[in-house]
Amino acid sequence: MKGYMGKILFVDLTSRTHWERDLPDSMPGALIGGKGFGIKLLYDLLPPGTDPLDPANPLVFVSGPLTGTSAPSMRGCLVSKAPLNGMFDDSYFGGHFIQEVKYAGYDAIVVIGKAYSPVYLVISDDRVEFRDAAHLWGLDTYETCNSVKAGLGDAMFRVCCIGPAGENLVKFALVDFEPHRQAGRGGLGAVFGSKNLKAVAVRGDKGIEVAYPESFTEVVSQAHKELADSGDTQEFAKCSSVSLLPFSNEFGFLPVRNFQDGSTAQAESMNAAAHESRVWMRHWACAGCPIHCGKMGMIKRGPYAGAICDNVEYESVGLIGGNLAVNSVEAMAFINQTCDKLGLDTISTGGVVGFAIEAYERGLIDEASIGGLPLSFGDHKSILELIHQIAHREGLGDLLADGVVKAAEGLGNGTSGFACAIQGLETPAWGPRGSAGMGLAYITGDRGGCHQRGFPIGYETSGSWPKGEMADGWRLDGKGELVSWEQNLLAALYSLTICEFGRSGISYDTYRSMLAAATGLSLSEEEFLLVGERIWNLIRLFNLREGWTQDQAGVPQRFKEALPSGVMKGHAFSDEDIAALLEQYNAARGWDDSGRPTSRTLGRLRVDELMEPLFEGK
Amino acid sequence: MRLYVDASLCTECRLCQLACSFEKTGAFNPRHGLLRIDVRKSGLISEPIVCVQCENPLCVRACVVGAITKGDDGVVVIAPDKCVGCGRCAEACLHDVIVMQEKKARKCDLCNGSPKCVAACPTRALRIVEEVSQG
Repeated sequence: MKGYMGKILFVDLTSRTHWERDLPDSMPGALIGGKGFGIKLLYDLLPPGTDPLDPANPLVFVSGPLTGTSAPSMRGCLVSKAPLNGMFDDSYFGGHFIQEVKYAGYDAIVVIGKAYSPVYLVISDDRVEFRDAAHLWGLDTYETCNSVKAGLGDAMFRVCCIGPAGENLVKFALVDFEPHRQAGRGGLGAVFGSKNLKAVAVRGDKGIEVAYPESFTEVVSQAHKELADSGDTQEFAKCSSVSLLPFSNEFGFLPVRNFQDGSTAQAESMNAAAHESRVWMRHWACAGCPIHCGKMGMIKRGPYAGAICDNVEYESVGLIGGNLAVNSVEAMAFINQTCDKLGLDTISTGGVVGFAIEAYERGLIDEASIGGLPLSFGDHKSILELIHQIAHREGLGDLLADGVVKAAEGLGNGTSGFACAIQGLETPAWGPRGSAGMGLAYITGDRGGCHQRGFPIGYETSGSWPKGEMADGWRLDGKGELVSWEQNLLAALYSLTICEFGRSGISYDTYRSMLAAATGLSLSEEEFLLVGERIWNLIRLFNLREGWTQDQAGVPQRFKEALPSGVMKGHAFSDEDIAALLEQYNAARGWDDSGRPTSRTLGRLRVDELMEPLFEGK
Repeated sequence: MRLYVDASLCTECRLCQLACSFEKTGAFNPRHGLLRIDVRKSGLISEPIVCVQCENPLCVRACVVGAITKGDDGVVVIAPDKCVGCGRCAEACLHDVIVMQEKKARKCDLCNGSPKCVAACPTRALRIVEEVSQG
């Protein structure tokens, strides 16, 4: 089928072998690509109950049928069982890497096993090499990428790699996709590290054909027009996602000092205008994307002057600027870049460090364990030192490297009350107080409490969603239907590997039209949503199989305390709210009271037909 | 006419290369596009490198079979039926924008006056300029 390359590459690091399999004909129609292919491959290939850092946990790089074409704003997807919380993890990344995977001839690459000693993979069309990475081990992500590329002699090789954090199996280590994009959440960098896999370089000479070239060109033009006409998209183009800061600060959704507050008087010093005037120099974009939300720049003043860096997007501004109270854009940009180089997810790092500072201030951390480091909110020097300790698992960093939930278990003394994670994933820069929908999205998120698996805040604050009116944020009614609908929609869109910023302008009809023109796969709106629902149910089955229970669908005490400021001041999340929301949600999904899909629901979605493994043996 | 580049506006999105590859090969792969992007200074700079239809085209002089000619309109064109795929032109090219594919040399011909790369560029980093004749 056009749009697809028709092959999956398997690489076994243990035996240093590789082989190809044809993409089964049933896959595009049933699961589209991206997230859908990712869960199916993970469900098939992971032996049930396998530890995420076991060699048998597969790493799956997946593309979508529009990836690598001129269809705007497509990303790649990295799927594995997450070291951080043991759940399904699909982490999306921009840049140019996944496009090369397709040009090399593959819809997906599956890496299993564990190399005897550190290696990196070089994939050039159908040639796969295992190269010694002893000289790369210990290098940061920028150094690794530059070193790998220099040795390959072709600048159009694209590289992904881990930094020291991944090597040291930090549970929220990321995978860096050069130059400035990351698969950040859930700790997939530690899966690389556990396999002794330092980097993957890929290039390809194959072209991607589409089924109907003329109509494809037309509908891609339509997508570009929708992006150009969208005020929201143009804000991202001009100011990146940090344009969202004034809104979150006004409502009280911004994490401030480990979520002790939801807004700050310092917001103006860290908004888009501050970054634009002090750091940014030009726009930067991922492959095939006209939005250019990225900004390249240089730190010009202060102790970090001279560093060439990219922009700090909203989540990192929230978790570094707000949650750690580092208000200087220069320090924020430098901490952001340090995390990228060490290979640490900025969201989890901001959560974990904020937790540590609060615990220290409350006298719950022994000073000796942090080497006499005087931790305090806003002190970027001690924060940077602690971040290095985490990446290298030194001192207190070793405990923090397992994530905030485990760190609180280790520290005891009631610290779990302010360990801000939901389903084991450190909470992103949208506090759930005052948004019942967001809270529900967090406690039902397929990879944990993530803002990208449903973002009801927008519908709640505007008062409407595509099916009519939407109740205010603090009210519970209608939220089960809203969240399950958006999760299904996003699962379908993520099977195309879309970017959220593209979605801010491109209509769902246009996405479906691009899919149809590229592949010939013509899905009605209803069928498209059904694919998303099928994927969401298959992931729930996977998570249940791996030990997830609905008991994990709770929030820490911090979010049960009244929000101190902002429009949503006074709101909190209670256990009664959670119980009522889960009841609504499970009913809307056709799941039983414990969150398990009923056989009727699985039959309606034809998930039962997906239970047979795609491939027998090698 | 010729292409004009303002690299300060380039975002490295490669929509130009994708549009070119689709126009010229019917499929998408940026390295099959007939222009390239040079990334320098730790990614601070990305510069599209295009065929400038040289006044003294070294590719024309390098070609041993006379397959490359500069027309009255100034555009330097390769005749595919005459090209023997020796690659001398690509070696001689000042800007490394001649692509060897399936044993034929290919280069920018400005798409008969309406270059697809220019149409695809979302930031006007690529533009067309009309040159005043010096003759």
